[in-house]
Amino acid sequence: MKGRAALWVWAGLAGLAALIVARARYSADLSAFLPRAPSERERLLIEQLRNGVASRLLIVAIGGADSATRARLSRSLAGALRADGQFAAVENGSAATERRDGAFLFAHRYLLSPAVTRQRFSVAGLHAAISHTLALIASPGGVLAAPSLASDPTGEMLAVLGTLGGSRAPRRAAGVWVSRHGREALLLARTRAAGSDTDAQARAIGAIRTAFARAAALAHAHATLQLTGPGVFAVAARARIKRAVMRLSLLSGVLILTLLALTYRSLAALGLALVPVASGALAGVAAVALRFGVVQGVTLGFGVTLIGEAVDYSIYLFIQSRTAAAAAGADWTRTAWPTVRLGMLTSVCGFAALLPSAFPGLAQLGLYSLAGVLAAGLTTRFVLPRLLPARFAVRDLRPLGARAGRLLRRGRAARALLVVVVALAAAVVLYAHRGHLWNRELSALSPVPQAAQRLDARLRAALGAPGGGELVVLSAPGRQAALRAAEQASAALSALVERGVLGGFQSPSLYLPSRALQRRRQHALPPPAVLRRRLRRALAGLPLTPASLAPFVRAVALARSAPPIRRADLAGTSFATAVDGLLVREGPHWDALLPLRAPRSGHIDLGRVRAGLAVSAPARATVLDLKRQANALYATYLAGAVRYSLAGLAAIALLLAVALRSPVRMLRVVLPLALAVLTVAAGLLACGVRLTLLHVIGMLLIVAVGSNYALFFERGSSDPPLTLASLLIANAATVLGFGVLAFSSVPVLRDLGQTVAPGAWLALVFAGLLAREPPAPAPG
Amino acid sequence: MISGPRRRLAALAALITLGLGAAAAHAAAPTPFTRLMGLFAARRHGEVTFLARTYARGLTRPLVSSGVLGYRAPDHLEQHTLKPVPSALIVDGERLTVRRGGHTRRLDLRDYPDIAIYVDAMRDTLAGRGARLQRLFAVGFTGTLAHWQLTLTPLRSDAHVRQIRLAGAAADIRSIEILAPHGARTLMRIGPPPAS
Repeated sequence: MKGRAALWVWAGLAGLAALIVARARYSADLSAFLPRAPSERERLLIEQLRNGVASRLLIVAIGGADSATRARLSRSLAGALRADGQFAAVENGSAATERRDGAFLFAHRYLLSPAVTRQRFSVAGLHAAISHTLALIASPGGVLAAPSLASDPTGEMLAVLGTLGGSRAPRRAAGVWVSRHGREALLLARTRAAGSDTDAQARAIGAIRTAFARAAALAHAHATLQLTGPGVFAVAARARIKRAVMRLSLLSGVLILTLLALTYRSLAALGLALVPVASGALAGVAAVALRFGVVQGVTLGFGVTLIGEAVDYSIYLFIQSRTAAAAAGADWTRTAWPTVRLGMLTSVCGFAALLPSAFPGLAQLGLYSLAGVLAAGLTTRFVLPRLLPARFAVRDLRPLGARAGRLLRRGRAARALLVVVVALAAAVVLYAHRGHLWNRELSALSPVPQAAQRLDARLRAALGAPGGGELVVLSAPGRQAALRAAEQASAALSALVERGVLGGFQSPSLYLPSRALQRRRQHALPPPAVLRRRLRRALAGLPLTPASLAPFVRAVALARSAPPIRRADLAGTSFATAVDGLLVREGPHWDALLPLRAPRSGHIDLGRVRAGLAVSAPARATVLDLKRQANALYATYLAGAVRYSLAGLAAIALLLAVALRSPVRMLRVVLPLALAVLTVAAGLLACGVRLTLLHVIGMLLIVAVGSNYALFFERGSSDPPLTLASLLIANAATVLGFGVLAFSSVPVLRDLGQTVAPGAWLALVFAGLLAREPPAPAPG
Repeated sequence: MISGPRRRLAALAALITLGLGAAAAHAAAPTPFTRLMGLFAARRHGEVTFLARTYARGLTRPLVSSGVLGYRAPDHLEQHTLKPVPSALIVDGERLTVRRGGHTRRLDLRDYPDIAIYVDAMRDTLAGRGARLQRLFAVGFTGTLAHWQLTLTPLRSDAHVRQIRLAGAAADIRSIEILAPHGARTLMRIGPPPAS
């Protein structure tokens, strides 16, 4: 009766979980690798990374063929993409855009030039400015500035270009942008969709590829296309994670099934072995969906590991009880279940330590595994025995157990020596690597390959597009206030450029000065009659007449009464994208972003930048080094993971102490696990691997999984060969499950696999070697 | 067996081949331009003085400047303006150094395409790189080796330099003229090497 009830409860819960799993949302984007940021400032930064204008930029590089063909392809690709509604802006440095840029700067030179002051338009100021322009025209190459002499004798256009010089323009060849070495034509496309909208990014990337293929086919050109940008990374990572999850699940599933098929030689047993696994997986995914709303693709990838753990319970049941005879089943429940239960609880303790992790991916892994292990264990205990057919029996594995037992007994002769040697060797390796145990770069966890990151950095530098470098962030309650703050900061930064602390910087205020500053410049311009009068005196001794400068007087008069430049006036120029990327709305307030460029030394002294800003910029300026910031964040998470893992270990130790009630018995369980963890850590370091967050988590899992083995050895068994055989098969399943992960191209999965697979095996071997000498095996 | 029409075709092909060969032979005969390039290539370095006059709309008289122009094969070019205001343009390979009013700026020539046009015209002529000149400019040669004019019109559609005109006698350049838009131009008369 009671058994029937358990079946009903199980079936009901499984149905419910299946419903939740079917309706859950799944995501395979990069957010599992972006830490949840603790502070408001960092939250904004991450939000900016995910949805800001920078996240919408796709950089296209056209290689191969010759310079003229690449330029032609760049032009036809830009034309095709401009006609595509998915893109808000497409730039390739075409002559048309450059002309529009130049025309915009020239038309608004008196509102943009930092040199426009009352002093400059006095008689002495005009004389000095015009003399300077004439000297410039007479210098080598200066003739190119001569055509605009009549309309711009004070050289405001040059002053404007001087301020923009800090944001190095991309190189051009054959009329389009090219990379630094000139072997690729470059194109910048901005999508309408946010960078975090991976589906839209995938569509945009597809549109670029299709348009390029068509253009290349029409031109009969053998050219290559390279794409980079946050959207490209997100799409590639998603594909990579999906592929990895599919392949890994399939591969480890097949491997473990093959192992079980060879072990049981019974189809019924094979099918039943999957019942706890499937129950665990359902429960795990359902729990994650309920708690987090979205299930990360990586969680499913980690979930492969659960197969290795959940399948163990049915292995213990089937092999150790051998038959489904009611007596045998009850016997297993009485003798072996308490050991399995304790092992299960230690695993739960280990996984629970992941729950507070700041990485959504890890927190999900913890919950998934915790729920999965519990469900699998309880299913094995309460459901599986009732499902066994009446004449169920698996192959007798005593011979395997007996053979392994003999090996272990031989090994036990030297176990004291072994412990000392292994512990010493591991300690020596750890000590030798003490300075660089940890990989402290957040990018170590990124699923974006190093080569792709390098390509991105190179193309970004060629286009002068802000990357993940140093920048100044100014927050203000409004757009105009943010621009005014950017102007004050720009003045301070210009001084730093003069002193060589900086190579240059970008600011939205260079293209779009605040209304206040524009008005101030307008007020500095004299009315036409006054200007004409001053020019008459200012031109004394210079080869110019007031009449010849009539275009200048007209331009100044026009600028005096012109409406201020607004964002809409930038349309069609390449400055529109720049301003949108550098002046962003964050809820109720605005952020001005001023990316910094390193001086010749290649290094920016942020301390001097902060000091320089503190003097002349009263607005709240934050100087950020995005890469260092991200790594600092990661370092705190690494420290957190180590702390949580230690807490998990302490919980496991407490659990064992309560259950075993003896320090000696506890030592016998803990020592082999500690040795396994030490050996794996030393092994990884000796192989040149630097430890990441995931290695730490892996070590926790070694303890969680390995405690099962150690407990079985410690508690002893009425049938040691049979118990040992079940442990061997269970261990093989775990090693297969994690071993497959070790070959993944996704770093988080790989790090976990390469820690747990060898660790679980070592835990079994050390537990077997350090176990109490069992009584002589029973004959037969 | 070759039929009648086929044979005629073969004869035609042979004729065309011969004709092409003759054309090739003709092309190989040195033109005055290639001979001029050969003369320049033989010169490894040189230093001359110049007197430049810049004309532009609005100027009541040309701006006059003077200085020293130096070249060292294959890629080093220096133009020092000494009067009225000292300034300098020094190019070495792709490195561009501009000195003006006490400031020295080190730049990359590839970032300044308009200066690059002037520099390429000068360096490729002085180094005798005729083929490269013809890749970058529509090259016009008039006169004789003893008294020649070279007009270099940039092929790049976005160039601000309209044309560069050189004139000279054998491997001696006598004048350099740079034409900018709207009638602005600089005419440099080349004089003897500096006295020092």
